[in-house]
Amino acid sequence: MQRFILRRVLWNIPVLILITVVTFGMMQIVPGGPFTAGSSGRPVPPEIRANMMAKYGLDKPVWQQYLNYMRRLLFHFDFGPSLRRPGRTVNQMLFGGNYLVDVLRERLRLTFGTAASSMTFADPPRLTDSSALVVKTNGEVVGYIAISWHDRLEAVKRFVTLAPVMVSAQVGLVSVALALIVGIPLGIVSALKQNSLIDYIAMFISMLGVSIPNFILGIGLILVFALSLEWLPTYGWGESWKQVIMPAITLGTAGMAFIARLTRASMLEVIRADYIRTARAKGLSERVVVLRHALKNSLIPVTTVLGPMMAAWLTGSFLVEWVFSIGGIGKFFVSAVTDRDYTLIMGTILIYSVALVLFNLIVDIAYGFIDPRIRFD
Amino acid sequence: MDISASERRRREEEAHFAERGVSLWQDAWHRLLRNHMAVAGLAFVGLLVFCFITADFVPPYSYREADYENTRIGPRWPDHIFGTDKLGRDVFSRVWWGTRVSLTVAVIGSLTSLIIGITYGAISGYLGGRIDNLMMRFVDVMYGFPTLLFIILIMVVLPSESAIQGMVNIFIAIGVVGWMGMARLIRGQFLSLREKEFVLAARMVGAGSGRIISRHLLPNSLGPAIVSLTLGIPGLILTEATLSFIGLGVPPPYPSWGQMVSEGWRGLRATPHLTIFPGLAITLTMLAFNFLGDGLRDALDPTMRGTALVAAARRKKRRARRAARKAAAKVT
Repeated sequence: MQRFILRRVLWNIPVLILITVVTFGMMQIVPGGPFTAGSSGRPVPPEIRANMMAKYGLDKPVWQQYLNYMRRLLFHFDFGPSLRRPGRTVNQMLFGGNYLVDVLRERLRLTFGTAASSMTFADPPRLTDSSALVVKTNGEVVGYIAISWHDRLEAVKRFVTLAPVMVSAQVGLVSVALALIVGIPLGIVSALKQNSLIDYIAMFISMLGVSIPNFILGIGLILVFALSLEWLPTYGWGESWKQVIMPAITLGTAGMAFIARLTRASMLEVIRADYIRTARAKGLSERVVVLRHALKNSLIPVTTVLGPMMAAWLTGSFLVEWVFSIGGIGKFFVSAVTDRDYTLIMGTILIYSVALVLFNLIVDIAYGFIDPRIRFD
Repeated sequence: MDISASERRRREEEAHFAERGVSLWQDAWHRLLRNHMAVAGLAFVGLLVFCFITADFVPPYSYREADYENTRIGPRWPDHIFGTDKLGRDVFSRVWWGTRVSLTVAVIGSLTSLIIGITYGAISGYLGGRIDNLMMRFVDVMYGFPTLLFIILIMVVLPSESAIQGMVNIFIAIGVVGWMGMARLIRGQFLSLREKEFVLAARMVGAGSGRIISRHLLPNSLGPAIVSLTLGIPGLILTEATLSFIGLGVPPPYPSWGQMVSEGWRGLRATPHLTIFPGLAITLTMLAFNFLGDGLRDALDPTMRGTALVAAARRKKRRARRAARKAAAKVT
């Protein structure tokens, strides 16, 4: 088991490297660069462009750029500066700011009042530090501020709730949960009552769910529940439970419908298997037969699709985040490409491919628990 | 019971096929017709094709004709039954015109993914071994790749001198993204088919690789390919709608449903009709193709082969027997 996991992890390393190489190469092939047009859309003079390219190291050969990028990423976990948004780093755009700074600032404000606004930290504080040196903007040393467990916890809490990457993950997680909680029972019921009215209705609904594009579903929900009935807010995330409902339904419906159809198909197959007949012949109740014997095996195909689905959803959906104005990272998947913001493209693709690899690994391990016939060798 | 039900069914089937030669396609067609949702889907696709052909002369307005005196009006009988947009263009006519984009992306996208997928899958599956392994690893990597970057790359790499050609390039790019599934399917089919006896027999009488692929392997993997193609069409239409929705697809003023939704949804409160009608058009089209694809899959499933006609024949026989019994009862 451990050897299996180790081998899978090792096997994924070349895949990830290949993805970064291909992406890096493809970005360079695509015509246009981050500095071909200014923020106003007017073309940038060639001299200025050359200067900007030199500043970000884009004048060097591509392989050298790649190696520099990978070195910074692997040794410092530094995704580099955003090429289109001056003063912002890709780390900030994906993972939010340094939340520990915010927490400590608030403590300084409690002690010093308005005078705290002219204070900064000599080095950005990290979670592992025990204290941070506080200096005034003119360089005068104020003193050390201790970092307590409470501060660290608060910083982590803020990261989990506020960081763009976590916001996207929250939206995705709620949607996956919705898809599973509704999809699986729907599939089971329509398989057990095959060709009944319930089956037809369930399958029609799931066909509708597969067919409706999620941006149209989202807009439709806004039209009905936000504009007409005024029950739910049209935008936002993380301030009230009401904001969760529409994005989750929008993102989750297609997966829910897909899972329902998948569960139904595999349940129909499993329920005719010999061991189910044996279980019935033993005199087990229908509930035990379905829930204990049939369900587990019929969930194997669902587990398979769950890997790529979680990877795609937890890294943010561009459409859902756009339609509901949610500040996740999904929007970068499109804007980075259209802006030719090279470092941001690399950042989003790395997050997506790491998520894909990770969830596929989890799925592979989960197989072993669901289906003992699958061996890890 | 002396013979099992399945055995009796097999004999019946054999007798039936011996009596009247029924091809796979004929049989599939009959089975498709029994599936009501698939027939409804087929009818809707027929309606789309009708709209596609007649877009030049049946709808009351052209897609770019602006009626500046009636901008942003809601549905109104009889001149603007779906209302007008901010330039006074008739939404009904534009939705009608939108079928051009959606059906074209379905055809061009399918053809593109079919051609690339079949070529790649056939080579991989026919050669097998190490090359096959390598080619399939490449497909795996392509799966992990961001679709959008890929589409933009293909769009800019292909030459585009005119607006129409630019549009066709978008459709080709959408199709190129979808080739991986087709390649996997064809490869799987080839891998299992090339071990079959009839391939061995063909090779024994001296058929070359080209002949074996084109006359034996390809025709036998066409059924699943067609099903996968039909099931892939909603995906192509969705990709086009999504691209147009985010402003990377069909350029205005040529109407595409996704682009119409994108223009309309900002004014959702005041002019919902600008969003509802094109949105409905996309959804219904996807639904129709999905039902059709589902029906085709059931109809072409080889394990179901012959059951539709045999069942019909059995029903006919039973009815005849009942009628005969009734007649006999009357006589006595």
